[in-house]
Amino acid sequence: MTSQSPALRPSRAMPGVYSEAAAEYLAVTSGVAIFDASTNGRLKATGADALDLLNRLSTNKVIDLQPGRGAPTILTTDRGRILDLITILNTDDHAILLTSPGAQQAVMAWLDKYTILEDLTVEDVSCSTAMLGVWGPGARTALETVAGLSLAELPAYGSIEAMVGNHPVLIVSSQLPAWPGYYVMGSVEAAPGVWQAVTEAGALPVGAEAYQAARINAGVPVLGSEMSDDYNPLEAGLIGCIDFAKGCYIGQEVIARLDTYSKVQKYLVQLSFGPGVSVAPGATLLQDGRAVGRVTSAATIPTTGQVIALAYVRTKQAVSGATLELGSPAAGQASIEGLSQLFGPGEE
Amino acid sequence: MAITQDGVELGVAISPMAAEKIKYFAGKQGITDNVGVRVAVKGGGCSGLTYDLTITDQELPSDKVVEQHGVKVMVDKKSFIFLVGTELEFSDGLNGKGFVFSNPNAKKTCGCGTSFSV
Repeated sequence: MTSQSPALRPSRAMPGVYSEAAAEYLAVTSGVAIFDASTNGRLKATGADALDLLNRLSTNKVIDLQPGRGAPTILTTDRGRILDLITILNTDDHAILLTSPGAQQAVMAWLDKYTILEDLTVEDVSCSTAMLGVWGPGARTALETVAGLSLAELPAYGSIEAMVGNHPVLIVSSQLPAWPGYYVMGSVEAAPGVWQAVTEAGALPVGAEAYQAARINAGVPVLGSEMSDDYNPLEAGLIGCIDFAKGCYIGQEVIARLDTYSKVQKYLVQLSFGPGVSVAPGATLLQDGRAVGRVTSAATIPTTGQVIALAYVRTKQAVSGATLELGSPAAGQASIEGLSQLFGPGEE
Repeated sequence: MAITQDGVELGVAISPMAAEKIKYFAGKQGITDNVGVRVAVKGGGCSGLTYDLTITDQELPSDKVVEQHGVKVMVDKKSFIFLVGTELEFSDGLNGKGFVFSNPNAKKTCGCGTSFSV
């Protein structure tokens, strides 16, 4: 296999295709894939109050994260809307915050706004580090091979220091049932060597086209499309990332009320379309001639040509198996495959 | 916005009942002399900012300190910006809410009253 090692650098946009989109899609969904995840923000939070403050500002319980452990959590506004879905890693002497691509400045400003007396310093290390994603069901074996250690005991969102290709890295588990993978963080200088080592262990470089199709197929929301100040975490199917028992955080009152009184207005759903249908983000979805939803992301599965999408659909119509019509100027039928629930359905 | 009492500018005013309760809780912690309460603001709560009360007899150099009803009310400079003009009362009884803040700077307050935004 040719490694096609790119000159990795932060903020580099993912190429559309490295080799062949169908093979790349198969690598993500049933093999081992590697992609440049450096556009995700990386913040270093130092200070005794880091986890305490983050616990007060976000939906999940992160105050008791032990060193080596991590958790996803959502920063929400006082109206319960999404600022960003971040992952917090406790690396003992500091915490690392993984943000959505381009969201690092907004997250830093948000933390700064609410840091009053707390002992907390946040540094943007996105440009001084690189991050690779190693994804797919074979990701663990490939990484174990190159790192020479077992990842069997590494819990979801746990992190462990390792050496890959003679470079010190931090391996972060991101084991979502529908979207299993690992992030490998290291210096910018280390990234090409790490990339080469992982590709030599069987990972296929994956570009944006295959990645986007696999992401939509797995029902993974992204900031700007499915997550924004227009949506709350319950609508975005992120209920499994909310701790309803931990106490107050910004937006908690609104989110608790929406959940308690079943007032969620719409849900993120996964759609599939009939053959030959052309669909783009923003497309309107109709039922009985009434607009009931809007497409947020769409892609064609490279292996089958199947068109799939993520969309927000009104709660009443957001039912698995339901058929919706695309509004003009597009035409065609969409079938709701299910609700997107990235972290599961939450606790009953 | 500032309030005054006997010509002295206050940051946070406490009611006689609130002062008695503060002394009661201070006594539980073994503090009977020089009883003080630190009133601060932290990020969090439903609306963005939340109140934080701590019984203490330790003043910090940067504190704004006013003694009221036998209790030293200490407010750090950063919290003072959010709290100036605030009145702290105590709501007693079975359905009482405990310490209650009336903050003229709060544009929005959450249902339980412990969190606000400015």
